[in-house]
Amino acid sequence: MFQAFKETERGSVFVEAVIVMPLLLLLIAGMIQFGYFFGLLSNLRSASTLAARSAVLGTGLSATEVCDNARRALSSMFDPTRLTCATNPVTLPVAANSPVTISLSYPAPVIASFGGFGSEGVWTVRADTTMQ
Amino acid sequence: MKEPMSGDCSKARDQRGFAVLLVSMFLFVILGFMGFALDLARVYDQRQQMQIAADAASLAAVNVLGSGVSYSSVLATITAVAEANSVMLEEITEVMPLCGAWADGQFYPQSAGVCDQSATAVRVTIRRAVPQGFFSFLRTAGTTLVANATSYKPLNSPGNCIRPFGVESSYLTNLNLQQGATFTISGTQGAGNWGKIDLDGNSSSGEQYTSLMLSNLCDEAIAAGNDVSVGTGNAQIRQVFDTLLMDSSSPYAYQGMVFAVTTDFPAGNGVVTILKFIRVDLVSQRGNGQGWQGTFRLVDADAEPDSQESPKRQLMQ
Repeated sequence: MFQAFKETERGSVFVEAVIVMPLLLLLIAGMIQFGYFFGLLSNLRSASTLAARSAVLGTGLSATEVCDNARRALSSMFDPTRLTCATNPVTLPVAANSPVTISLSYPAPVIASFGGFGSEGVWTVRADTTMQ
Repeated sequence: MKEPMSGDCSKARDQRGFAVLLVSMFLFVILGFMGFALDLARVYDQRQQMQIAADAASLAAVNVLGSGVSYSSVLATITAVAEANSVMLEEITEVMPLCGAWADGQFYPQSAGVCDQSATAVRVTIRRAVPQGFFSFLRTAGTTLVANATSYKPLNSPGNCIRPFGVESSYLTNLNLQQGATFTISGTQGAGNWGKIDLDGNSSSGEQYTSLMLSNLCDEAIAAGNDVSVGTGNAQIRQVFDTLLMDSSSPYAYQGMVFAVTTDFPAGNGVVTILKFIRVDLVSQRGNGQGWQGTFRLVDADAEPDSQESPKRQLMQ
């Protein structure tokens, strides 16, 4: 029966393509995933900067208002309800010239899992900004 | 008569290894592009981090300026904030931070290592050498990234009591302005997003209104929650702001103006409620009368009017 396979080459391109296609697709998925995470990180960092700035500019915003500022600064890639926002100190506003750190974290969905990278299909993107 | 098929032709039909060859060729190209993209992303990422650190450090430093300030205390503040934002000390001190003054959109530095009490601005420069990543085998020099930030303390313009200028709260809320952002006010009363308000119950005429626009009104009784009558007409609005823009030395009348934020203006005569006060700088204006448009910078979204009266000005015609 295998004699027939040895003598004909028909379909070999197809077979090879079947072997390499998953690798290529994985590569492309990885690129998309990287771009997605990178976009999230960049935007999250901008949002934490903006929030930290609003916390130290002397307008007397509370921690909730500062975190709302961070949520408003997120792009449409985010679901703002899933954003975790923490301030240090926990209670705002602070006295003049005191440092405030805004820590944002966002559980981003993983579309391509590379050997256990990310747990439960989620990778948490974090950004911290300290201002005074 | 047809010629028999040659052996070469059958070789041409040999497709074994074709896809592997194709893929391995493309893989080199793809990996090259990927490496380039990753390096670029790394540079972009570090650049963003450095800029945030520079902004935060200069902003923090400008807050410690004033009497009794020393260069070392400014440097200590810069270092603490920059390090909290993942920047190393040597990256800040390679180009030493400078104190200076900010005027007419320019930074005028003091001598290196000096920060006296006249300083109103701080410039921070962060330099970081980023080595080649994916293309390190080429043994080319990496990139040196530079992030600059200058922050300045706005001069306190004394005598900014309330001007009889109301801005509709609904308009400002929609803009969702951050401190320092600019916004444009336009249109006529009722149809626009601003209006004249009669602060003292005695400035409904154009002349009285103009006088108050130029000199402010200092009256502690004027507060959020007050209902005020609105004035109609805006014929001299351009001249009023032109006059305010005439100041060539501090305190500038067009800086730190206190406006009332009110409920929406009615189309004609009526009453609005003062909700809060904002402090703004006039950035530019165009048109006049009903076509007047003013662009302002939000200095303080929730301002306390000053208690000292500013000098009276004559309307520039």
